[in-house]
Amino acid sequence: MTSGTWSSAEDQRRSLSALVAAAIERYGGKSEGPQPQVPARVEPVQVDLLQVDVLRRERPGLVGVLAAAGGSVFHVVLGLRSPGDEAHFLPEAEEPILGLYEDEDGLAVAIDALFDADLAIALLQAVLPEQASGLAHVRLLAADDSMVRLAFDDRLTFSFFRRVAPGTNPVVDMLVKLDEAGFNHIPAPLGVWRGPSGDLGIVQEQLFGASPGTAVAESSLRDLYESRCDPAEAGGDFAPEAHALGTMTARMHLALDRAFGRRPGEPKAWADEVEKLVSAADPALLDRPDVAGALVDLRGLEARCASIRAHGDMHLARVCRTEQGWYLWDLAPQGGEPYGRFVSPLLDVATMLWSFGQLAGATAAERDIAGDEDLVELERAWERRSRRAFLAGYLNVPGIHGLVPHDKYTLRTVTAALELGRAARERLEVSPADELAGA
Amino acid sequence: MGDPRWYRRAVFYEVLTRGFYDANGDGKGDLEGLRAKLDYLEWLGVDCLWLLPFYPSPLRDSGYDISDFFSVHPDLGDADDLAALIEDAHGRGIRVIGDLVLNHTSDQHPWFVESRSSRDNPKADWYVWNDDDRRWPEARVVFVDVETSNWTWDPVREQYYWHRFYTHQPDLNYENVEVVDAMLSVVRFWLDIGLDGFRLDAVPYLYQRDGTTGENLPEAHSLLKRLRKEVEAGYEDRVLLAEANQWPADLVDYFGEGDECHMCFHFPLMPRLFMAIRREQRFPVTEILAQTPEIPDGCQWAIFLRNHDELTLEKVTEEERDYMVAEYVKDPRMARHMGIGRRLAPLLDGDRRLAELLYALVFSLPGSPFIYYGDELLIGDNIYLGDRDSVRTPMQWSPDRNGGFSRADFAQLYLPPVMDPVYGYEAVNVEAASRNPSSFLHWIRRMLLARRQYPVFGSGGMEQVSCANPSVLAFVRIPDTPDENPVLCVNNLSRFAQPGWLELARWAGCCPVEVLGRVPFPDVGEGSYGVTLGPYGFYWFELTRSEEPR
Repeated sequence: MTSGTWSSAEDQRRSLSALVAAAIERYGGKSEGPQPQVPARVEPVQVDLLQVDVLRRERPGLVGVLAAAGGSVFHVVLGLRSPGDEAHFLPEAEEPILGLYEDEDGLAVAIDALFDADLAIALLQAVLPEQASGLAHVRLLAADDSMVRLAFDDRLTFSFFRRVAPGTNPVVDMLVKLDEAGFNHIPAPLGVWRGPSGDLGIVQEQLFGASPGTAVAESSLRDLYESRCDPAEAGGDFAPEAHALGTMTARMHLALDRAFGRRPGEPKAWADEVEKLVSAADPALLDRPDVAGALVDLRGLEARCASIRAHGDMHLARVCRTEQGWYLWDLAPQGGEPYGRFVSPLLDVATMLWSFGQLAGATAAERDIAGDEDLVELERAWERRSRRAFLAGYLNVPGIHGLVPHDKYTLRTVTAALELGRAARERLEVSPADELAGA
Repeated sequence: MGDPRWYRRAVFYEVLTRGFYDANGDGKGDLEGLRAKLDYLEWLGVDCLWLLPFYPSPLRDSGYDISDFFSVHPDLGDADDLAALIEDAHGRGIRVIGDLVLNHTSDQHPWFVESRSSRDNPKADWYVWNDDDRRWPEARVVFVDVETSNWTWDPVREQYYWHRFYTHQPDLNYENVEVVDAMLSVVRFWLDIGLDGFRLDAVPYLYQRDGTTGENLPEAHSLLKRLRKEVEAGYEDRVLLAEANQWPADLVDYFGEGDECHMCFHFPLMPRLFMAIRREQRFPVTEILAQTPEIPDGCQWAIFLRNHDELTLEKVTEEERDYMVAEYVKDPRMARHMGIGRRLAPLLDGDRRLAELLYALVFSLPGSPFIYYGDELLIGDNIYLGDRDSVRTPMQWSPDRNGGFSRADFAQLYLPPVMDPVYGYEAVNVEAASRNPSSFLHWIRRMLLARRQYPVFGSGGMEQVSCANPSVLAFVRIPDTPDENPVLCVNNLSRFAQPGWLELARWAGCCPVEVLGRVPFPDVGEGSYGVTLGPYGFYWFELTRSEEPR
């Protein structure tokens, strides 16, 4: 390989395998913002090349490779630069130089193309040319062993899937279908890079000036704990934001219903699942009257409930606020959960309500470690107000009662039990919801 | 002088002549008194004075009820005094614009006296008359707290007359060409005396049409275009500034295609600045900026924190109005019309850090800043005075009798000066503030000096900078000429210290140099740029190319 002579096809293939193995071994590293949780890093012993595509022939060249390793299919794009060619690597990226490679055009330095600013733009131009004209700046947003996300000119983002599953990527599917169903509270999908066996990446509009939902809620809590007043009178009152968030959530459910349809809900199965989660957290909790009662109530429901392909884990960290309002910016399900499950839409409601309490409790606790400032009352008042505003925003959206039950008892029963399950999943203190009275 | 677009780089100072300085000792400020204080205004660093109405008037609406368009109210002086003021100001590089009320007159105006006298007199059609009070029901009543209808019965003429504001302010009828001609001659009269332009009061209401709200009608825009044409044909470097309390999409129409008004007040921005600091989040501001369309070349927004009126809440949603009232109206007396009758300092509970932050925003957001007289000292208000007099009390010059405003007896003053222990003239006055180098007055002066060095604040474009922290508002002012550098403005709207990770890749390689201290900060790189801000802190950074620091 280092001799400078043109190697045989077999040598080339062997060399490519080694470079791809080197790239896959380096997968992992920087992760920023909410990311899907992924299985532990794979150390491939052996790499089988499944598909090799020359994406750009001339130097600097681009070669896309799908390779099987350790039971997964990995996706790598190698950048090939002539020795001595000046490259501009993205700061904070993994080590991008993988080794040397030789083909018909001679010797080249092989680089993970996503971390080379010019090659990243060239890659986008090669695979989704209609989105990539006139791009100048590239920024690394996140990288882990399943995905790399880049921002171009703070105008669009490119999510490159490092692991490829057969068929349509469920997140891509959900984004595209939500967009087609007219739901515009997501970073709009602009183009999907589809391979022969699965989705390889997606280009989306970048949300400008987006603040995570947790940061917006924390700024409200910070103000409240300083002002020590009724949350309704605090300057940083979160209720209008919670209301808008509820409205956005209901619109998302209606769009998901249009896109994927609905199925009959099974409260008994939901109760079984909650019971399993609670039991895993602490079996003794099942003996608590409130917990046991919540499960009995859910099992005993007579009313018809629908299930849809809901988000599944929609909490404050999964949404963000821009000057255009609230957006859903992370669609990945809870770690370990399969994509695309049909669940009660009230699971998303319960998860968001749970996250209000979580955040309020955590921010109060870190301010009031000794418990002598008595922030508990304020924290609870904020949570109550936010929950009511969220539910009002959710339940006031026209059409939502076609999806969720009209009667308060059913609403309260389903939501309280699902919130219990979400709390158990976090192995935190169980506190069944009892604030649905305002709904 | 000699720059036809001077208003884009100017800092305006709004003066109530009656409340500024009393030269003749009659208890009311006057033009001679204002002229005597030009040294102060020049020292402060303002570029243009905006005089509230100085015309003869029964003063039932602070002079916005004009009874003669061609002279000066005798309390304030005469036309010669105004000419002398303008000449003296011009000598110091300060321009002077005046208020002009096109929409209506006082019911004491001879035009109206004649018009109401019969249905067939020569001025019978100079105002808007009708046999019943049912026409144009879609037009809202502006002063909802004191007026119930836009029509008032006149027992002499036995007809109703139309008024969008107070009953005693009948609207002129611009369907009548004689009225148009008469008002154009008013404009020429004052421009001939030397005024540098007009702030045009209440321009959305000039016409009425069936089935409309009577606001922003095309006929009003045509009239303003004609006015602009007349002014440009006869005079150089004059400015027309529209007072149109409208939503941004309607507001921009008052610029026309660069052929209507040179400037418009950005009314919807102002209350949102106050909302943003209470919410400690940038969204109220960024949302309204996102809704603000581009404006034609050569035009400029006028931006302000407070003025002589109530802090208007007309252009906010109902929820936002409730929020503002809950946050800022601590006493029912503070509510005026559809707004809040308080001055800047009491609105902010006297928090100087907040006042600095808000002024830093007004000085750096796109537009020309307007300072309301006395706000450079953070003077207070008097909510026990009627209507909007709460914010029209005398300027506070010294701790002496009447705050140094007048040598008249206290009982003779047009309004009592503020005398409370916090904002009263004994504590807050020009003399004390100018002696104290760390006073707010000195801070404002210093900021105006800094702003003057960066014309980009007046004439440049703006790009918001993405930052995940909702309490941080960051933007870059982009110059329209290559010989100026961009200026990055970073603001912390929270009372707590905040980090800001700014997405500045576009400016990679630049060295941010802090404008006030000329302190170079670390160069901007490819990644996020971290800035730490103190409570209500802000920075202005000149973005210099590292190899060529200024």
